[in-house]
Parts: sequence; structure tokens; C-alpha cells
Amino acid sequence: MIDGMLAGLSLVLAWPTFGYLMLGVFIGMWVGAVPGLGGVVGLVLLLPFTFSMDPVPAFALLMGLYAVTSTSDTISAILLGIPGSVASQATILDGYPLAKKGQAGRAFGAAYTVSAIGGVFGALVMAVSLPFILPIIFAFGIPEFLLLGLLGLTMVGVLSGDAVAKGLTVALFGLLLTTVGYAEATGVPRFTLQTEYLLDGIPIIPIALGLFGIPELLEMAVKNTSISRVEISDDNRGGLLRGIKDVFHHRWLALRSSLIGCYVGVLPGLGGAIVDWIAYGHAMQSAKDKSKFGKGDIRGVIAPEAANNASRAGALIPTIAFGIPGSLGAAILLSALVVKGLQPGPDMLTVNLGLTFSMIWDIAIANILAAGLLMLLSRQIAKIAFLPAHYVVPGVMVVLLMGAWVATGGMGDWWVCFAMGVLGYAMKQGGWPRPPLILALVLGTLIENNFQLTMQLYDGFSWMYQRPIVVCIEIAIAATIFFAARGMTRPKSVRAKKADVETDPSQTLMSSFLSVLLLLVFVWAYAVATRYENAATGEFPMAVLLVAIPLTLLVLIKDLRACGAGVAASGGVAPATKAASQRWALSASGAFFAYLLALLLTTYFVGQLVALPLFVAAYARRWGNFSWTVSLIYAAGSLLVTWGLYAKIMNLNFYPSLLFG
Amino acid sequence: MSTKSMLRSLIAAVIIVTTLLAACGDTAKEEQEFYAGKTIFVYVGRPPGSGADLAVRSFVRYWQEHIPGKPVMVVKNVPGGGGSRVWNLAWDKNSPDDLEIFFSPVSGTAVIVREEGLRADLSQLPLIGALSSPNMTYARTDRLPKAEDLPAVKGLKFGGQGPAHRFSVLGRLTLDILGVDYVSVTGFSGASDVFNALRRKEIDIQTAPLNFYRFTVEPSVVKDGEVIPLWYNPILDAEGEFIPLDAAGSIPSFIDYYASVKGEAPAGELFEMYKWLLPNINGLVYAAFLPRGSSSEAEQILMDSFARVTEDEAYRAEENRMFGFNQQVVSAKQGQRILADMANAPENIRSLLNQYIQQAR
Repeated sequence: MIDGMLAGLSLVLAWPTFGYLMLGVFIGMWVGAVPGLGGVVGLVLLLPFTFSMDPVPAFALLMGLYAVTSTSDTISAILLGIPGSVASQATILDGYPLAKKGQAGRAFGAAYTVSAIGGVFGALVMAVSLPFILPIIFAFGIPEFLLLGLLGLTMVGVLSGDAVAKGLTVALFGLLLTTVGYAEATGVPRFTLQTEYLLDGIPIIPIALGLFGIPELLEMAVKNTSISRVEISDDNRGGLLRGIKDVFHHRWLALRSSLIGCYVGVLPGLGGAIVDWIAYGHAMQSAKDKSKFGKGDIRGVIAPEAANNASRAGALIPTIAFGIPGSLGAAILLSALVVKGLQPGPDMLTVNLGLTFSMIWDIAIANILAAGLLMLLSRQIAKIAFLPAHYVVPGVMVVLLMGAWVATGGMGDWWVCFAMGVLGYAMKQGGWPRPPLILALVLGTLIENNFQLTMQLYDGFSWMYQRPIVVCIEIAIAATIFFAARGMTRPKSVRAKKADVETDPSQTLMSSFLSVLLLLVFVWAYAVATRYENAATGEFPMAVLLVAIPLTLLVLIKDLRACGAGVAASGGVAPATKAASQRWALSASGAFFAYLLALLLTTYFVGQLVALPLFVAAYARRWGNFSWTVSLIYAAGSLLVTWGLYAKIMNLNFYPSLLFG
Repeated sequence: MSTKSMLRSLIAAVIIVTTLLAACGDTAKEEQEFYAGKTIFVYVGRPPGSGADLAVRSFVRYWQEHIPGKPVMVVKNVPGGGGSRVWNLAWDKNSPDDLEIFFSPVSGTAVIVREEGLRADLSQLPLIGALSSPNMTYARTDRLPKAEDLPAVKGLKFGGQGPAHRFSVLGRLTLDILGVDYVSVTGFSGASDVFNALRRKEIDIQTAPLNFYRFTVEPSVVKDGEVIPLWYNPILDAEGEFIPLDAAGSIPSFIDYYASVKGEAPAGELFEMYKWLLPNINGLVYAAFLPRGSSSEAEQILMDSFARVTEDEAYRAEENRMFGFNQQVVSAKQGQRILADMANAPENIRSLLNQYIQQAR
């Protein structure tokens, strides 16, 4: 074992392997930082170059990239509230509020330090666990995966803050969205509106980018404020060091989260998409003072960032040792293994042990390198938080939309992103929590598939009490629900304060509008679901809708009552409506969405390479009041990025426009 | 013949040869120039990292060396529509520029039952070439210690992907033809997921591609006796004869397995469907098409170069290293016949297959 570890280390440190590792780290930092790209895109770009390389340098290049994308994706999560990849979704909950407080540097310091710790810790734990990891993997059967999905879903309570009913409704909407497309169990298409785009379901990236990114960019544009709502000062200048100290202060949380990361990463099918949420939930549940979570609590950055880096090492083990890829990224690594003629399996733990350990070392060293490099850059990156909005918004919008385009390369991605942007804006104004929607999207397919398979594989429900791990997870679910329910029975003074907020007519009006909209969607979906002949096709959406419809009705009744009280307090419908439209900045927000809509429609005629620079120029001129020269230079820059990065380097296809084909 | 006429004949011959050589030279030069300095995009309808993605990327790496002019070839993934999106994309191309190739797995069952979502009529697209490969069925030894015991074992659990997936259809068909008492569990998202369930003893029997068997199943569980191979579902040659699979070693084809345990040749309605399906859904595993309206020059260049790749020793060695065997090459003519057969499947086969898939839903 020790010999294998040392042999692996010497392989990694030999030249040119170390050079390839560095190259992988650089590319990984870049693809991770651009929203919508991430590790899978990077691996696809590099894979052809490794075909003719020797295995050790080839894997150094690939692992260097793969290991660090979940470190650099933190940049957009913290600075812009936009998840750089699925692995950084939970980081935005506290990372972005920290940036708004002018503490982006602190968040970066904590995130990079803990990413390095998570990555190294994960690699070491996996190295030690190699001999006995197989029984752990196979102890988790289909019922266990189902229960783990449900345990993840109980996080909705944690993520909903004070609006638990709304959080649950949003989560049910998310679960319903996961049923769009072919049903895995029967192959029957559901809720596709006769469109080809929806046959494979709605991709999560355009949803996440639209739901979180567009409302934040809109707010910046409308208020013309920087990301940080406070001025740069001595207090927030030394943030990086403070973030590093935070990690050492919360060292046990960092280590526990790393442990969660590597063992959840090991389980095929769960992987990186859920691990950050589980770690975030753990941080919140284990904290004595939970009141600052969601408002800029550094523990909310430490936990998911430690876990998502540690999960990369975890996912590697079943991939190379048993040929079981736990994620898309791991599947590409498996492809690279096969191209080299290496058989995943026992040989990788015996005759090729040196190579296996070299991969683990690749992960550990890459994490340290990336954290160090990003630390050096973060002082400059953090300054973006203090730039005026109009310098940031158009450029970020281009990157955001192209990130959404990467999902399937069709206009459907942009329409989904736009629709989710509108929904996200309405949810923000109506006081509806957005994270439960993403959590449900991540978990929905996992829950439905494993439920259907469990029902086919096991007679009745005996599996619920005959399998020890299932019972343990059930206890954890019950405990989570119990503590969440206890948290809801708060002192009267807190409830009274909340009631004041809920009678704000602008919020309740928007909330009522959302309730009606969701209710209509649920009723329509119910009508469609009743027509599915096959039980396995309609069961899951029907179960979701049977809970969603009455719950939405309850939310609506509560909203309408609060709305009535708010209107009365405002002195009538007209003053209340006026106040609401002012608070929503309705005309400016409408104009912002009109710009986006115009961009989408223009793309049909002239394609992205013309429409995106046009949008940038129009925005810079109209919203930023920049001179024509500056506006045109900005537009030319966006054209260069779109063409160079997405067309030339990533070989993405643009929309075949009516005018230019 | 006089000296004069001999001289005239000789001069004529020289002129003819020179003209022919010049013409050949021109053709070769034209071929060289057609794709020189150009970039060809190859679309695969599966996500990066999938078996199909790997197979296409590996093939393309050699293909670009065999196309005169050595163009750059870039693989693009367009997954979606259960694998149908890539074909719809090819079908919808209005003004082909000879620079886009659609190279992806063909779902034979989707073509035969005219599955919702597949708008493209593949038999109308110019086929450049195709590859076919067999698949394997294997089982856990704790439920089935000996392969020949299968017909006697009760309550086996067969695991598969979607009900219309070819491995689910072929796996179930073979078990039904044998009259095995089993439960079908479909809805796994990939061959790896089914295999995980097999290792966890949640299912007992699986049908999967031969390369998956070679690289994942054999080294991890066959060597230590946890799983035994039962049979392979063969492919057919141009004359419709089953091709014995050297790579299978001592593993029998399903036909031979049936004969060994039942003492007679298989027969019946389901076997007739199996026989009809086999050359079709196993016959075109990966197929490369151009969009309609592409130039015949491009079609010819690409067909010739596709064929040259399949004869390239270096490619065959890599293919063997990756898959553990060499895939069967399907000529464009042979492939077009398979596509036409599937598009015009006899109504009784189409209806029986539809019913058979519905039973698993």
C-alpha cells in the first residue's frame, strides 16, 4: 500500500507529468469559472488530446482539470449569485450575501482554503478506504438511494427559511418539472407540449442560471448598484485572511463536510449534484445559532465547498476500481481509461496500483495548486464586487446566456432560462424561496426512478423495516422533520414580526399572483396526468400533484388574506398597487425583460453572433449611458468572447438564423 | 501488321494511357482538394463519456487521416429525444454543405415501432457506413450455478433499461423463447446501473453490449465466479446467416444455447420475431449519415474513407484494445437494406413488437 502511494507520487512529480497536471489545473480553473461550462465540458475538450499520450500524463491532465472546476466555480457563485456549475449551487446561499456585504474576499478565502482541505482530505480518505470501500458501495441498494433522495428533500424545510409552505410548494413544482420528458420506467413522454426539446426533460443548467442569475442582474441594472451594497473599506479589504481564519475556526465542520463529500461522492448516481446540499444541511442542523444562514454565514460557504471538492476523489474510486462511473465526469474518465486499454477493476488495485495512486495524488496536488493560484488572484477578482452595475451586467448576461446554451445548444435553453428569470424575479418579489426548486430538480428523477424500481424489485413495503440502512435513514428523516417542525413553533414575538412582513401588499400581491399561476399549472398537469394509461407513467406526477394542489390553495388563501389586510392598511387598492409597482420597479424591470425578449427574438433572425453584441451595445448605451465608442468597444469585446470561446474553442453550434443560416 | 500501323497503335496506346493517368491524377487531385483545409463536424446523439461517444471519437481520430486533404474533424454531442434528436437534426438540414456527418447509435426498435419523437426517415438519408456488434446475456451464479439450469430456475429477476431499449427487448425475448419463469424490471438509466443492481443481488440476469461485458463484467465478477456468461445475441452477414463470434470464445450464441438445453432448434412466434429483429437492431449499432441533398462527391469520398478506416490495422488494434473485439463493418448498401427493412417492417412484426414493449410498461 505504502509502496503504491510512493510510486504514485513519484509518477506525478516526474516531468512532463507535473507539467500536464499544471496545464489541467489552469484549464480547469478557467472552465469552472465560466457559468455553464464546468468539468464535463473541459474533459470533453481535452479527451481527444489524451488519446495518443501515455496513461500517467494523460490522467494528470484530465484529473488536474476535473479536480479543480469545483474550486473555481465558486467565483460566479459568490460574486454573482450564479452557480458556476451544479457543484456550487448551495454556495450561493451564503456566498452571495457575503459579497453583497462587501465580504467577497472573505468568502473566497474560506472557499479556496476549504476546497484545498476537502480535496486533499478526500483523496487521503479514499486512499485509505480503497481496500474496504466495495462493501460500503454495495450496501446501498435501490431502496437506500430512494430514502437518501427523500432525506435530501427534507432539506426543503431548511432552505425555505420562514416560508416553509411556499418552500414545499416550490419543491413540488420542481419535482413536477423533473417528470417532463420520457418516463424512465416506461419510456412514455410526459408534459412535452409536443416539442422535441422537452422529450429528454428540462436541463438543470438553464433553470439554475435563469432562476438565480437573471433576477440578480436585473436588480443590479435597475438599482444601478454594484454587487457589494457597501463601499470598499479597510474592513472588507483584508477579507482573504479572515476567510482563511474562519476555516480554522470551523475546522471540525470543514472535516465533517469533507467526510460527507467523499462518501456521498462514492455512491454512484448521487455524486456532485447533491453533496453540497447535504453538507449545507449538515452545517445548518449542527449549528447552535442558525439565524444567520442564508444571510451571509461563512459556515454556509465552508460546508458545501469542502464537500464538493472531496466528492471528486470519492467518485474516482468506484470508477477506476469497479468500472462504475458515479457521474458524467467520471464516465468520461472511464472512457479515457478504456482508450488506454486499461481495465477498471481489480487490476487497478494490484498491477496498476501506482497509476491509481497517481490519480489520487493528482487530485490532492491539483487542489492545493488551484487554491493557491486562486488566492493570488482573488484580491483582484473580489474588486469586481465593487464595480458599477452597468459595467458588469451586459458582459455577465452574455456569459450567462451562452452558459445556458451549452446545455443542449437549442433555443429551448434560452426560453427556459428566460422563463425561469421571470419566475425567479417574481419569487424574489413575492418572498418565495428559490433553492428548494433546484434541490427538487436534482432529486426528482432520483426519487422517481428508485421508487419505481423498488416497487418492481421488492414485494410490498417490507423493505422499509427489514433493511438496516433504510431504517437509519428513516430515523434521520424523522429527526429532520421533527426539528424543522419544532423550529416553526417560534416565540410569538418572532411570528408577529414575520406577520408584519407578510402584510406588505407588494409582496403578498406578487405572492398571490404566483400562487394562482402555480395552481393553474398544477391543475393543468393533473388533467394531463389522469390521461396516462400506464400506472408507472402517471404515479409519480400524480402523487406530487395530489399534495401540491391543496398546499398551493392553502398558500393562496393565506396570501389573499394577508393581501387584503395589507391593502386595507395602505388605504385602498389604488395606493397599494401604486406602492407595489414602485417597489417592484415594474417599468424598469419590464424594460429589462423586454431587452432580453428582444435579444431572443433577434437571434431567430440574425443569430447569436449579431444579436448578443447588439444587446450589449444597446444596453451599454441605453442603461449605462456610455458613449457610442465605449458601447461599440464593449459590443466588439462580447463578439470576440462569443466567437473565440464558444465557437472556436468549444466548437458550439450557434442558432441557424433566418438571414445568415 | 505493318511497322507504320504498329507505330500508330503504339502512339494511340501512349495517348490513351497518358490521358487515363492524367484523368486519374485530376480525380485524385480533386479529391485531395475537396476537404483540404476544411473542418467536418461529426454529431453524436449521446452525451460525452458514453460508450457511443467513445466509439465515435475513436473512429473519427482515424477517419480524418483517411479522408483525402486530411480535414479537421470535430465531434459534437447532441443528446436528446432519447437519441432521436441527432437524427431529426440531420433530417431538418435544408442546405447541406458536405461538412456535417451524423454518426450515432441507431435505435432499431424506435425505427420499427415508429416511436414518438423520431421524425427522421433514416432510410432516406445517404448512409456512409455503419458498424455492428453483438451483445451478451449473463447471470448471477448464486441464483444460477450452471448455465444449463436456466429453464428450471423460478422467479429470476431480469434488469433492463427502458422497455423499448434493444437490450431489454432482446433480453426478455430470449428468456421468453426459453420459457424461463422471470420478472422483468425495467427503468434503469444505463447498463452500468443495471450491472450495479446485479452486483448488489437486486437483479439476477442482464443483457448488455459485448464491450461492456469484456471491460466491466468479465474482469470484476466473471473471473471470481460471481457471474456466468450464458449466450450472445449474434449478428447476421449479408446473406442473413448468423456470424459466429470469435471474440465470444466458448460462450455459445443464443441459438446454440437453446439447442443445448432444449435438445431442439428454437421455433415459434417469438423466435420468428427474434430472428427478424436480430439483423436489424443488432445490425446497425453505429451508423454515419450525411444530410439529404449532400453532394455525391462528398458521399463517395466519405464512404471510401470510412471503409479504409475499418481496414486500418492501427484502428483495428485500438478498437480491439477498447472493446475486446473488432466490430463488424456494415457497407452502405447493406446498411440501406437494413434501414429499408426496418422502415417497411411487416405489420405483424411491428404490431407484435409494439405489444411486447407495452407488456413491459
